[in-house]
Amino acid sequence: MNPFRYERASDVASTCASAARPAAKFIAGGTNLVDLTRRTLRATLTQAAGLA
Amino acid sequence: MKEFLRSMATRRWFLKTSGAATLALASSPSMAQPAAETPPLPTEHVDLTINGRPYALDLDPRTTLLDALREHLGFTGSKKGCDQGQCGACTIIVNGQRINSCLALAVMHDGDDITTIEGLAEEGVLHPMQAAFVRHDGFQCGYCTPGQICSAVALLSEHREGWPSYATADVATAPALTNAEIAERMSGNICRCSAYPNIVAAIREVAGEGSQ
Repeated sequence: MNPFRYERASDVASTCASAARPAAKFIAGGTNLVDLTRRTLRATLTQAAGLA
Repeated sequence: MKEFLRSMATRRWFLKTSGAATLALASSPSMAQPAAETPPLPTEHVDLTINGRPYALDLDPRTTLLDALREHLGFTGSKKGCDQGQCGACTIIVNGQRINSCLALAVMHDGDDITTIEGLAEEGVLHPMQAAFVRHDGFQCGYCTPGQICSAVALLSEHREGWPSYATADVATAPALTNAEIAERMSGNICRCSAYPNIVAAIREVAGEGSQ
């Protein structure tokens, strides 16, 4: 699997900061992104699940 | 010698010791090579509750929940069939809902409550779904069975909560668990041996829908 930076979103402000990084992707369930990181995707994954 | 070899040649023994053997080979003087400096991989701390017991791990963020269970914690009941979310052999129950653990990163489930096939039986008594699979012969090779059973257990709670499926004619009504409903709701779990009729029969029985 390609390396990625993983960031946990704790609030809206930090989530927006994470999402603004180059090649940042939101990950919630992971159904497609986990597969893609195994093949081609290099990204910063920001977990937004659980944010109100 | 024959006895000794036989005692060693179990799969479990091989799994436990092959790692050490590889290490010994790699560190023998004849194979000594100047190793390239690789920076240590950053890890993420993850707390998981698995089958009612707490576990703390520091993992490469790429570690899937399935690998965390199988390779880091020894819960080898959940199987790695396709490792891309197609087969359902890795299905586990997370916070009451079934997921493909091969498509979930362990770090995404920090603090979550996980049930694997190892956690369904209580004090040596099979979970009703496990017992029904045995009674109805809902498997042949057994590789998909842990996923099938975890999926079926979560299916029943989804149905109890009134979730419709693609096979539900009228999503405004609580659907009966017909064979078509069960087949649709279990469509994420593939069985190469094609034990489907018996799997459906087992699920119907536990659901209290009787046999057909």
